Amino acid sequence: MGQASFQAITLDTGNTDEQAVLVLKGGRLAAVLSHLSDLHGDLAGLWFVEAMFGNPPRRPRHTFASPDEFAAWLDAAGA
Amino acid sequence: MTSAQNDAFGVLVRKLSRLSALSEADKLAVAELPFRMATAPPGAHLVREGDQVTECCVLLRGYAFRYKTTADGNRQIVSFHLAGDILDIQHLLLSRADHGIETLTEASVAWVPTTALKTLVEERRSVSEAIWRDALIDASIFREWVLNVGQRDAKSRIAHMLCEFALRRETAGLGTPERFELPMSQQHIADATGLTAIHVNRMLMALANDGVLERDRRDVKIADWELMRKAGDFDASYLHMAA
Repeated sequence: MGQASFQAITLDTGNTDEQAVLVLKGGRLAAVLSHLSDLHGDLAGLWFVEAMFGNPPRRPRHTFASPDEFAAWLDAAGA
Repeated sequence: MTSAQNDAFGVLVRKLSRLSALSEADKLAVAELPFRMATAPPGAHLVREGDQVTECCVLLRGYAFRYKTTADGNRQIVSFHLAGDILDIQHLLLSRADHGIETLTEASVAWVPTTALKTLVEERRSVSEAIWRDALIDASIFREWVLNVGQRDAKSRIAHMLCEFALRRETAGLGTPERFELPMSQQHIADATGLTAIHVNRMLMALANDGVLERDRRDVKIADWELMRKAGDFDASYLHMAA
């Protein structure tokens, strides 16, 4: 599937978790990650998987330190 | 029977009395059930899936929940429980635990031999009716939860869960439905509603912004019950007044 690339986007969440990235693999949209805001206390600054597409493993419930860390997780999961 | 024994089952007698008209002799027979008392810290496993069970667990103080897990360890909470609830009435007739039971808070429980409970329901028609009704209302609550998780949006699921908890708490005599301390964490709410803790946090914030509830840590105030009921698509008839 090749390297993941990221494209910044603004989410219409109705709250402060609006900074996000689209995760693209092979030119296709694989996932949407949001950058957690101060709304989430200790989790602020981490990345949360809002959605995954294609034939992915189960959407992880845990957060990631960066989009790169998520891409590595996705590779390790074989997606 | 000692007075301590009588006191221990007071909460169970009150619950069964809401479910069926118990005579004084029925109440005495419930109070005289043999039991083994235990206290458990928050997060204690009272029953694990697969256990061979010979005692039913009556929650006397605190809160607990029932859950099932997927093969890869993801947990679905299937019900929350409060004082007076028999946590596993199915073990009266089914000896293998098909799900787990865990405490939410520090709790006191009474373990009652299933044989003694079985004899009681065989001998006392009103007690039998109360336990039947309890099991049927349990099933009604499970049906409502399937609807909640399967068909309602995130905000409604949480509002519905909070409405049910508030009302059941009031029915059990544990206080007003308008203001209460939530015994469950956002992760528990997430596992009960099929959401992530992140979504739960966002939705609680959204409900607060909508003027439906106010919260300060785990202290929750339902600011507008009618709005809360609407937000949760909540119709209490499935609780059949007695749960």
